[in-house]
Order: sequence, then structure tokens, then C-alpha cells
Amino acid sequence: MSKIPELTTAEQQTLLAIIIQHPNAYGVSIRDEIRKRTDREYSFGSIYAVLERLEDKGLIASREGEATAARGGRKKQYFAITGPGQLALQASLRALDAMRDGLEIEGASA
Amino acid sequence: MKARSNSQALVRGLKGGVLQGGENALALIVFGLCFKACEYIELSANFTYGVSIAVAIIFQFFQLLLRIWFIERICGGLKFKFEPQSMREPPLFAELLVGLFAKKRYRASLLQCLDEDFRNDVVSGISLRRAKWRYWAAALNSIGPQFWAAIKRIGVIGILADYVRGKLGGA
Repeated sequence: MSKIPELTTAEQQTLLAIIIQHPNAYGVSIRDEIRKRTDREYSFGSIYAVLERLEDKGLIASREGEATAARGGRKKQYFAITGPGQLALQASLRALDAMRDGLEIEGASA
Repeated sequence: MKARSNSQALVRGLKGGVLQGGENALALIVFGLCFKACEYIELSANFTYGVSIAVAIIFQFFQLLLRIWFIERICGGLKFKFEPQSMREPPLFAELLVGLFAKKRYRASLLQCLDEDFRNDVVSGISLRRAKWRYWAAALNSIGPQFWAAIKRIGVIGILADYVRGKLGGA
């Protein structure tokens, strides 16, 4: 059985944004979804660096979409999570949940 | 479609502001006629040249005005309401910079996302100047990780490390 790759926070967030935005997950929608939910402003360079890593690991797949007027007639590139991607995300979130289970973090007002 | 070509003709006519070959030839004929007329009424040589050149320049100026008036007339009600397409494009140099450092695989997508943000800014009513500044900021922000990835890809750090190690006499 192949080892499940570990994910960074940015990779987790990107994978979750791809799932939420499916089947309309592309650079702008992924960036907007992460911004909306976490208030984190990633540059497109960072987003695409993460997407590239994820695609290299086989956790996501991309396909070319239709060209729209808003994009100057250029084609969108859509991303979708793969089976191994879902497994990796599940494992990563489960590990995080296991770590915080029964834990109350103080200092919320700090 | 006709309005667009008319507007483009208007832009060319107004932006160019340069007389075309035929108009220059006409001015030359006017200059020659004026020169002959001055000679005929026996003006001094300097005066003849001065008057002929002045008349030719005034004639050229009126030709230009006539051309602008003619183009405006063809364009009908357009009256500069349009904005040239090139002005609504994102800054070219910023695009080139991003294109230079982005990986080929995602280069087009990255540029398209920046482009979409720019167009959304313009449509939302932000001034073109501000939209272009925002594009520059986003482009430079995007170059950082791409630049770092390019350095890693090319192996510049390894080359530099080897060079330094070589200079220091390391193995």
C-alpha cells in the first residue's frame, strides 16, 4: 500500500476549496473561497504553486474549460480532487482532529 | 461592427495627427503655386520662401482639421464615447514579468486569473489607473513564489553553493 502524502495547511485549504467549488474550481474561485472562509489573501502565484505540487502528487487533476468573455476569450483551467487526494485530505484532517480531541485552547482573548 | 470600425478610424485620424502622403503632396503643390505667385508679383527671395512655407503649413493644418471633421461626420453620434480597447488591457510589462517567471504548465492560467481580476476591477467601477496598480501589485505578489520555484528548478542555489565552495577550497 502506497504511503499517503502529508499535507500543509495551504494544501488542505486548497483541496477543501476545490471540493466546495466543484465543478467550478479554478484559480480565481479557489482564491476567493479561501479568502471568504479564512480571511487569508493568497496571491495567484502561491495558489498555483500549491496546485502544481498537488497535481504532481496526483491529488488533483486539471482540465481545460470553456473560454469566457470575462477572461478575454481565454480558456479556464478547472481542477478536481482525485481519489488519492480525498484519501490524503481525510487522513490529514483526521490527524488534526485527533490532535485537538479533548483539548481546550486557552488565550482566545490574547 | 460598423460603429467599431468607424471608431477605430476616428482614433487613427485623431491619434495620428500626421498628414498622409496625398495631403503632403497637395501642400507641396500649394507651396509651388504660392512660390510662383510671389515671384510673379516680384517679392524678395526671402519673403517668397517665408510666405510660401507659411501658406503651405496653414494649408496642411486645414487639411488635418478637414480630415478630423470628415471622420467625425462618418462616425455620427459616437463623439469619443468609446474607450480604445488597448487602454482597458492590463499592463503589458507586468504580464511579461509574470510570463517570464511562471512555469509553462500554468503560465496561461495564471495570466488569465490576473486578467480576470483586472477586468472585474474595471467593471466594478475602480478607476483604470487604480486597476492597473492593483494588477501590478498582484503580479509582483505572484512572481515571488514563481520566482523562487524557478530558482529551485534551475538549480541556481546549487550552482552558487558549488561556486562558493570551490572558491573557499572545499571538497
